[in-house]
Amino acid sequence: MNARIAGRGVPWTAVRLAVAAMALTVVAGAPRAQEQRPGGAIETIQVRPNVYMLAGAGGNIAVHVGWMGVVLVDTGSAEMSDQVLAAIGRITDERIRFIINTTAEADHVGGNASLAQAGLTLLRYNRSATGGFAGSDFQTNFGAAGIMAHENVLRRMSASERPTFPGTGWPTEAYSGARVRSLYLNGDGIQMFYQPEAHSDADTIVFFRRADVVVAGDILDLRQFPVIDVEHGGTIDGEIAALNRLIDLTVPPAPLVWHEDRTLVIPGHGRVCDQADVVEYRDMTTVIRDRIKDMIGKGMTLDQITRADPTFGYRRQYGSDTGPWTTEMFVTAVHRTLTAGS
Amino acid sequence: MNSALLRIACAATVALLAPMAGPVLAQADLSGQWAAVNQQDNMARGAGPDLVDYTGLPINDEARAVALGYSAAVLSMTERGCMDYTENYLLFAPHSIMIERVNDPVTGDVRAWRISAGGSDRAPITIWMDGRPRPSPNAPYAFSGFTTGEWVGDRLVARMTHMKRGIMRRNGVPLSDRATMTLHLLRRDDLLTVMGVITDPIYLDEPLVQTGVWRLNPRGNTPATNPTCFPFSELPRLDTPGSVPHFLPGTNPDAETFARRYNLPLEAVYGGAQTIYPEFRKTLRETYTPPAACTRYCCGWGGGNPQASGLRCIARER
Repeated sequence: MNARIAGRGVPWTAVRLAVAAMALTVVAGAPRAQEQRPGGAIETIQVRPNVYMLAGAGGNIAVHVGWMGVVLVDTGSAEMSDQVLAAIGRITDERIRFIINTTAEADHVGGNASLAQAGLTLLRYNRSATGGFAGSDFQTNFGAAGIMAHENVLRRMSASERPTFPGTGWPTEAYSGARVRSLYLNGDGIQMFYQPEAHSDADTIVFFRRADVVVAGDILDLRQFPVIDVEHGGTIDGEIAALNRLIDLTVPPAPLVWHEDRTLVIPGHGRVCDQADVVEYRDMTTVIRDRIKDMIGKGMTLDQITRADPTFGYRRQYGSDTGPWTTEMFVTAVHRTLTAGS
Repeated sequence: MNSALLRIACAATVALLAPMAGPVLAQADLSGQWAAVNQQDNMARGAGPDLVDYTGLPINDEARAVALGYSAAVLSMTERGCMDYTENYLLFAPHSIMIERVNDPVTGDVRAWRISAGGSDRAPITIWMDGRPRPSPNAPYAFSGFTTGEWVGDRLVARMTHMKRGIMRRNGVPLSDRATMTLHLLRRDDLLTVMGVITDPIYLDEPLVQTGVWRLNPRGNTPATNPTCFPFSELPRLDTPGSVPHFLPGTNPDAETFARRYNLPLEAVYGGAQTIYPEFRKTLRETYTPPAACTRYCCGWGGGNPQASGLRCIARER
C-alpha cells in the first residue's frame, strides 16, 4: 500500500504547508546548541581537514591523519592517555603509526608509552619471530609505534633524576646535530627543526609542509611568559631565536590579507595560532628581554630588577604570582641567562 | 479536498508564523554603499592622533606602559607590513564602507551581513545571522574575528569575539586578544550609526564606547576587498632577527609632547577610566589655560578649506 492510496481524501497540500511552517518555526526559534564533542577534559580542534589539535591532556597534541594511519606530535600527560586514545578514536579508526616529541617535559611525553603501544610500528613486525625479516626489536619498538625526538629528550627521559618514564616510551629514533630532519609520512613532508637553548636544550619545531601546520612545543606557551628551563639549557636569547624561526616558517595571508589562508601553529599550550600571534608573543618577549638587559647594564641587581617589574604591561595577561611558573621565576631565568659567564 | 481541514491547516500556519513576523517588520535593510561622515574624532580618523594622546580612553596602567613603549617603527618590520588592524578600527577609521546582505540561496533567509573593508587595513566583518555556534576559545583567531548578530527592535546587535591582539588608537594603545566588541548598527533614513562597545579584561578598566556615522551613497564604489599587500622590510636594521623597535621605560621622547602642545595636564593626556566622565573635565576647568599659540592642525588636517573639518581655526583668528 502506498502513501497516496493510504492518504486518499487528506488535503496533503495544506498538511505539508503546516508541517513546513512548524519546521521553520522550530529552526528559526531555537538557537543551535554549541557543538560539543564528547571526551571529558579533552577538546578536539580541527586545524586542517586531516590535522587536529587535542587540548586538555597536558601539552597540546597534534594528530595528523593519512593513509598510513596517525602521526602524533607529543602525547600529553601519562594519566590522560586513555582519554587521548578515546579522542583519537573519535577522529579515525586508523592506528597510531609514529610519534614525534617536541620537548622532554612530562606533559608532552608522558603518554609516549601508552600511545606507542596502542599503535603499530611502521615496519613489519612478527612477534613470534617465525615470519621472516621484521627488523630488530629496537627498530620496530617491539611492534609499537616508533618515537622520534632530539637525543636530549632521550637523555632526559632515561635519566634517573626525572620522573620515571618506562623504557617503552623512550624515543626509538633519537637525533642530534643542527641539521633539519625530514620524513615523508601520510603523504606529507614532515620537517623537524632543532632549536638549541630555547625553552630547554631539547626543543624541536615540527613542520607539516603539505598541511602547512607548525607544531611549536613549549617554545610557544600562550598561557604565560615563556618557560625558560635554565637547568636544562634554556636561554632567553635562544627562546627569541626559536620564536623568530617560527615566524620565518609561517606564511601570513599576504598579499590577499583579507583572506584567512595562512600557516597555522599549534603551540605547546593555548589556542591554535598563526604568524601574527607569534609576532605578538615574540615582541612581548623581546621587549622584556631588552628591559632586563638595560637594567643589568645600569648595574641593577636581580632584586632591584624584580622590584622594578620589567614585565609591566604584559603581566596581567601572561604573569602569575603562584603556580609552577611565576613572573618572578621568568625574570630570574632571563636575568640568569643574560648574566651567564659575566 | 476537504476545505475545513485546509482552513485549519492555513490557520495553523498563520498562527505559527505570526511570532516571527514581529521582529521582521522592525528590521532595516543595511545593504548598500555608505560614505563616511568624519565630523567626529576628525583628526583621529584622518591625520591620526598625536603621539601619546590617550585622552578619553579608559585604559589601565599596563595599557599605558605598553603604549608609552610603542615605536611606530614596528610598522616597518616585514612581518608587520601587511598585518591588519583589528576590527575595532571600523570605529575610528575614515573609510567608507559597503554592506552586503548574504542570503541563503535556497530559502532566501538572511544568512549574514558583511561589512566590507574597502581599503581600510582591516578585514571584512561578517555578522552571522544563522545561529551558528561560536568557535572554541582554542580555535584560531582571525583579524575578522567571529561575529554573530540578532535584531533587537530596529537595531542589529552584533557580538564579536576571537579578536586578535591589536590597538585601540593608532598611536600604539594596545588591545588584547581577550577583548570583545559589541556593535550596534542603527539605520535612520539615509544615516547609519554604528556604536561599538569594547571590553578588554587586560587593558581596559571600563568599556570603551566609540561611534561612527555613515551616509547612504548610491553612487559609492567602495570595493568588497582590500588592495593587495606585499610585505618587505623598510628599515634594513630590522632585518636582524631579535630586534623589535620600542622605547624602554622612561625614554619615550614624546611622552609629554602632546601635553605641552595643548597645555594639558598629564593625568588627562594619559587617559584612564576617571578621565572619560564630565566630572573630570570640571576639575580641569578652573586650572586650564589654553596654549599661547596653536602649532599643529589648527585648521584641520585635510588641507584646502580650513573650515571643512568643522574645527575652529585658531591660527587664522590670530
